[in-house]
Amino acid sequence: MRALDVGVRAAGRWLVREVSLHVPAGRVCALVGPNGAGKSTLLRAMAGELRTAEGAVFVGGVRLADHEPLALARRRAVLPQHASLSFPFEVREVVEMGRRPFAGLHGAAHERRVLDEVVSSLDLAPLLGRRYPSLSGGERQRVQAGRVLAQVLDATPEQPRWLLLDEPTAAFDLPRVGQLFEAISRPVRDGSLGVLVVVHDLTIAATFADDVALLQGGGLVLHGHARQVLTPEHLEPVFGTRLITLEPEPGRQVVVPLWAAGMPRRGGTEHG
Amino acid sequence: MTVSAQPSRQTQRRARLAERLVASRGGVALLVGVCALVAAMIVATHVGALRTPWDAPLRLLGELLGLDRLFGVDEPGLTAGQRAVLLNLRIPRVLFAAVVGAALGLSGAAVQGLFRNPLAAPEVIGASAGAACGAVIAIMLVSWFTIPLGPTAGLAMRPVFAFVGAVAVTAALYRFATGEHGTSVLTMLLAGIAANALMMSVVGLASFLSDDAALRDITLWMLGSLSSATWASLGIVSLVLLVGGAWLMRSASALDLLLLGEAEAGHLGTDVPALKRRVIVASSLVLSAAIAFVGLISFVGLVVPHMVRLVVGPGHRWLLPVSAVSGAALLTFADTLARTIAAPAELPIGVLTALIGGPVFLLLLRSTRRELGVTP
Repeated sequence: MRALDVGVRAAGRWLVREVSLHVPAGRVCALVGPNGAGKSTLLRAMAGELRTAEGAVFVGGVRLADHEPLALARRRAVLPQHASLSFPFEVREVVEMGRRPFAGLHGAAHERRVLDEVVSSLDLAPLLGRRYPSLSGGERQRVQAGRVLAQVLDATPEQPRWLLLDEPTAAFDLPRVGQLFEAISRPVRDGSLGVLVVVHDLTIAATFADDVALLQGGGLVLHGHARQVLTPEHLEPVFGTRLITLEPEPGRQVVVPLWAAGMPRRGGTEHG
Repeated sequence: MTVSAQPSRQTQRRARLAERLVASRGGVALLVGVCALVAAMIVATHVGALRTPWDAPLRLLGELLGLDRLFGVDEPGLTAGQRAVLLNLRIPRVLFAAVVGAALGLSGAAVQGLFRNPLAAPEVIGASAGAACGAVIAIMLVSWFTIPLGPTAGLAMRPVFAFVGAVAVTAALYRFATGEHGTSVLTMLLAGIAANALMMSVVGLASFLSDDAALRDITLWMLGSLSSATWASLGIVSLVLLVGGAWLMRSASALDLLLLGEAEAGHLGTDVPALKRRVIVASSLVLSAAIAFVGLISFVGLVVPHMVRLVVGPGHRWLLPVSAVSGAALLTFADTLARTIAAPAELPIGVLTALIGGPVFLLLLRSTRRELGVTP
């Protein structure tokens, strides 16, 4: 999936301009940047929700606008930042909606296998019989994640699919964050899934993303391997705050902001 | 890193059993609804100014098909008076009540799905008033120009004009109240009040401009009654209901996805603009056919889908047909009540449905506020 010189205008202002981004199957690409940098706008333009004033988006080599809606739904799934479902569907029904684009294509056994994988990888079993409006914010987000996961999980390397996520873990507690990225890692590793994800937490980007695209003021500052982009010299001018990167264990990177107003504390924090 | 244990085989099996139960719950509800409808129709045919035997419809059918002669039944047949009442008045009226009730329940369910809000209903958003406005203008125009095609053409103009009114109001309200993040209840209700007021003022204006004969027609029609039932009007409403119902049923799955949000439905492969057009046109079609002939009957389209959703859940595959059948049963029952409770006078049916529906709706709202996510 690819964006070519994409520009999005709203109310006479460019929200995103001249951004080209390649999200290949088999990689997780994180969109990072300060508030108002155009992360969500770019994601929504690449999802086809926003009209591009300039440039074009290609999915599987075909221009977004030339895809039939159903054919496109079979190639990529989108998880929005806010979900507005207020009807009392059961969680099971919501997750199954992710399979609607494939109705009648596969047998019942295949469908069951996909749904079982979604349910076990996101630990949705305890929620399945509950009504969606009765869930907490984090649970709702997990269910919606399960829905889009069901839409892409049975992709093959010959027919790869893409997953666009807008801050999917904003309401998650810590272990759930790892759980979600672990759930997408299987199809990503075998080359059948490409992921574009907006994240705020730079440590999440450093831990789970292969590539990072750094946005500022609607433009792409830098796009490359996570290790190369997530360095203080690139991040500090964009975020306007001091940052350090730590390597607590080999191969793991943590990005820590040093806020100017940070209060010095006594005592240490425990590490598990 | 595994955060939690894999769900046991037993939990999964239990989940699947629950799944099958949910699927059959819709079927059971449909069956119960059909039984209630048949019961209501039998009672409705039986009672009235002239009581007929319980099995009269069956006997009549037998006579019409010539079965009684075939099997040599020697019971005394129906009297000529009973037969005339059944054939010309009672049976068309009972069937008409069922068809109109089905139309109201169905269009209510579809509109609530379209607006992604359980408080949306044709009477709330002003679609019913729009249809009424169209029908009244049709009555006025017929009287002004004395359309030379006779009473049938005049009758046929009403549903057409009502349809235009209903479509216009539904589409306008949707534009107005529904954005990217769903329907704003407050905007919808306020815009609905405005639309209702506007439409009713046009009705008033049309009445003001009408001559005496048309004014009498308008007044009679506005009170709402099923007594205008004829085989012709029954045929028109049934046909529209079948076409609109089939159209809506084809959109049932897409309507479920629309409840997730417009963008989400699009990402799941729905052609959202086409879906919205289809649902607006089909629900207005069904609604206006009913309203054009019987006048304003409120609360059926609001309360019936609401109650049905509590039983079968929000999935449209079951919600639409069960709402139609329940609406049919409810209106058949209500009409029977309306024409017997103050016999020989007849209570306007719209008054009765509002009397029953209003309090029921308030009770429902109170008990299910949180579950339905009804927040201003």
